[in-house]
Parts: sequence; structure tokens; C-alpha cells
Amino acid sequence: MTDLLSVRDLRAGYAGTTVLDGVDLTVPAGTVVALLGRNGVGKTTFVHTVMGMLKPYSGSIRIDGRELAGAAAHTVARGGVAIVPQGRRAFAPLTVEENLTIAARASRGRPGPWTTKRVYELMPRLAERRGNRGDQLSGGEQQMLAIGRALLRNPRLLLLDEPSDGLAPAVVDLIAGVLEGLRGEGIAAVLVEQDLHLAFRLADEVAVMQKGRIVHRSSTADFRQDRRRAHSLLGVG
Amino acid sequence: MATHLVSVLNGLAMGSLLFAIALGLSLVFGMMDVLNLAHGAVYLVGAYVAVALVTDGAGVAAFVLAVLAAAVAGALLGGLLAALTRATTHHLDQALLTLGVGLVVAEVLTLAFGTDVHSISAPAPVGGGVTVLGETYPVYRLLVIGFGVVLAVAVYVLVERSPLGSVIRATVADRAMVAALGVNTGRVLVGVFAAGAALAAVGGVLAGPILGAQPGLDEKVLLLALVVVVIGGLGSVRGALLGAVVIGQVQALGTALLPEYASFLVFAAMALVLLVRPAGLLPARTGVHA
Ligand SMILES: Nc1ncnc2c1ncn2[C@@H]1O[C@H](COP(=O)(O)OP(=O)(O)O)[C@@H](O)[C@H]1O
Ligand SMILES: [Mg+2]
Repeated sequence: MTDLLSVRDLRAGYAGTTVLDGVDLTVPAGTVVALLGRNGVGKTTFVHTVMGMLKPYSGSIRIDGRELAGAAAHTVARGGVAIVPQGRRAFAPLTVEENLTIAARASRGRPGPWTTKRVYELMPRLAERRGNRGDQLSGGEQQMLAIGRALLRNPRLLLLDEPSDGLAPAVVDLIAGVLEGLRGEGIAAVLVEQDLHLAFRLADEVAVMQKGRIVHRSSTADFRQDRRRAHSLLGVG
Repeated sequence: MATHLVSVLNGLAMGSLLFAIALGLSLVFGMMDVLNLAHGAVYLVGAYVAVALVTDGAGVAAFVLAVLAAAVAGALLGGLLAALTRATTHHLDQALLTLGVGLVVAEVLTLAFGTDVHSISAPAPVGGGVTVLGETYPVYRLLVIGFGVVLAVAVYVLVERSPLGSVIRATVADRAMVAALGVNTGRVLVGVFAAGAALAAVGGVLAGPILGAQPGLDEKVLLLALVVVVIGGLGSVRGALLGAVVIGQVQALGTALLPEYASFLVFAAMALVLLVRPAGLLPARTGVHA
């Protein structure tokens, strides 16, 4: 299978500090890779760098063979990458409908299966809240909005940064159901997640980051079998 | 009572002009955290365009031509400023850059037009007065108030109700996220910068018959616009409108009642607002971060 995302020796950080210290990671087309690791190891930095929201110091980021390291975020987006960012980042002053319309209008050059109507069908709660502003939504609703916005890009690669963060268990379940429903769409994903149950439920493969590098890569099933290794890599049970 | 009415009307006319001028300043700051310190100079370009094109007894056509010429000149200057500020990354560098451009533009204007105080006449057909509650009031100023109302409605519809307006408000709230959705935010910034500067220059023409044109006016206007933006809340259209109306009234009332303290009152109003609401009266909502 060909790699949709291929990252080689990626170095990045903030104002001269090094956070990503030579990351190598590939994501085959249609595959969901969970990116695990303790707080502060650089997962969000990695996701932002792939999205073009942070310029790398060096290294290669290829999407479908096309070199996009250092490209602007809108160029990366037009290359088929979409992000559901940590903290969700719904546009506070805009209604749900306006939040979605921005993504839909910006995606007119990328025809595909996702329309605002289909997003509302997938997440009816958003349809009910379509006239409400981003800052009037609950955390779960904001997460749905962030997912809907990303889907409207008709992405080939989805970057999901802690989609369950700060949500009540029932809401996590709802979000998990939505993401699981996307499995048949053939969208590849990098899923950053602290909730291991959720990560294992959604991901085909697991990559573990420590201190700005990928130190482990295996299938999800493999990873789950060796609990001691998982514990030593993640510092959790 | 009637003198108060005149003062209120003067305040509304001033508020209309301040709204036109402050809007671009506020939106540009909201989007890219750049204080465009050349904004006053852009205004002054408009005022001198009026000096050049609107001669005594000129008709409406000359005035309209001046408005259009000022809009074009303002848009070009705004585009240039956007390109320059986008080429640098540090906020202080950007502010100094706009300050430098503003100083150069003002100096060129002084070279071209001298240091004289120029007065600009209102277009002949609306140069007279009408009686409002027993007081004669200049027709031109009523038209400026009308312009302010039309502008406020137009900007409201554009920014609060159109898809382009959604992009502008979202860019103020969270620019990186807008870019990640595939929008070339650089083009949005240049467009807003240019449109805001065009409005400031048009403001210079429209204010001509009221404030005239002279060296130093750029700094006064910039300062007033900054006060409006700070009072209203950075990056917010409604804030700019409210701030402009408040400062227009404070200035007009101050001039009518306590002429020697008028400019002090403007800053006192700002200090008061900042004490009570540090983010301004109607600040733009920024991104929701969990
Ligand atoms: N905007 C920033 N400026 C400076 N340092 C940052 C910034 N964002 C994150 N960092 C630092 O980079 C490191 C990695 O952070 P992050 O990528 O957010 O980790 P993770 O997502 O794995 O928890 C941390 O030490 C963090 O303090
Ligand atoms: Mg993170």
C-alpha cells in the first residue's frame, strides 16, 4: 500500500527550541494511526507542523508524494489535509452554520462526498444548534463542529488532536461513534489521543512518541498484547 | 435646548467620520495584531485630494471625483502597507514600519501642499444651511450623518451577514484555524487593509469641509481613531461604531461646554472605559479554547 503521509527526519520547535527532534512517520492511505505519548512530548507540535501551521526547521513532509514541508496551511489544506485541533477552536463569534460555511466555501475546489447537509445528517445535534454561536456550544458540540468543519474539506488525511479531551464519558462515546462511522470513508488519519480505549477502538496502528521522536510503531493488536511494553512506553497501565 | 441639539448633531457628524476612519484600524489590528500607525497619513492623503480637486464653488461632480480618487489612493497605500507588514514578523517592527510610511507620506504632502491651513468648501448645492428646531444647521453635516448611517448598515450587512464577513470575523478570532480550512488568509488581510485605508482616505475627503487640511492633522486623527478603537474594543465593527458615536459626542459636548478641556475629555472618557471594561465596550470574541 502506498503511504499517503510520509514524514522524514522532521525537526521543529518554537523560537529556536527543538521539540520535534527527527520524527519519522508514515501513514498508509485509508489507515488510522494513533499517535500516543505523554503530555508535552510534541504530539500537537507534530500535528501543527504537518498542517503547515508551524514551519519546520528541516525535514520532509510528503502528502501523496508531494513535498509540503514549509508550505502555508491553506496550501496543505488544499493538498487534502484537514485538522480537528486540540481545544477544538470553533470560531466563537460565528454561528454553527457560519463555521461550517467557511469550510464548505473554501472547499469548493475539492469536490467530494461531504456537504453541510451530510454533516448535519451525521451529527443532528449540530443541525439543532445551527443558529448558535461557537461560544454558546457545549464542549461536545464544539468537537462535533470541529469534526464537521474538517470533513467539509473532503480530506484524504485527517489530523485529530485529542478529540476526547475534556469531554464527559457519554459525550466521548458519541464522538467515538461518529469517528467510527467514518471508518468506511477511506480517510487516513493521525489520531492523537490520551484515552487508550478510544485510541485502540479507532486505530489500525499505533505510534509512540517520546521526546520529539517516534520510538515505537506496531499494529494496534500487537501493541495491546504486550502490556508491559505499553506501560513502559506510555507510563500508564 | 437648541444649542444642545446643534452639539448633538455635530457629535453625530464627527462620529460618522470617526467610524469610517477607525473601522480599518480596528479590523486590521484584530486580524494581524498590527497597529497601522500610517492610518492618519492615509486620512490626510484624502484631505489633500479634496484640496486639489474640490476648488471653491466646485459642484457635486468634483466632490464625487475626489471621493473616488481618494478611495483608489487609499486602497493602493493600504495594499502597500499590507505587503510591507506581512514581509516582517515582529509586531514592533511592523508598527515602526507603518509609522515610517506615515511620516514619509505626511512629509511628501507637506512638500506638495505647503504648511498652510487649507479649508475645503462643501459642494455648492449642499453648501447652505437648513433650519432645525429654530437653529440654522449646515446641510452638508446632515449629509455626513446620513453617510455614517448608510456606511454602518452596509458594513454591518457585509461583515455580520455575508460569507466574506464570516471569513473576516473568523480571521479576527483565529487566523491560523481559518488558514487550516484552506482559506488564503493573506489575501483576506490585504483586502481588509486596502478597504480600511480606502475608507480612511474617503473620510479625509468627507471631513474636508469640516476639518480642512493641514500638517499635523494626521496625528490628531490617528489619536482620535485609536481612542475610538480602544473604547469600542479591538477587531470589532460594532465596537468601532459605538466608540465613534461616544467620542463624537464627547468631543462635540466638550467643545460646546468646556472648549479648553475638549481633548482632555476624550482621553478621560477612554480612561474611564478602560477602568470599567479593559477590553473595550464591545470587543470581538476570540477563538474558543477549551
Ligand atoms: N506555542 C508554543 N510556544 C512555545 N513552546 C511550546 C508551544 N506549544 C508547545 N510548546 C512546548 O513544546 C513542547 C511540546 O508541546 P506539545 O506539542 O503541545 O506536546 P503534546 O501535544 O504532546 O502534549 C512542550 O514542552 C511545550 O511546552
Ligand atoms: Mg497536545
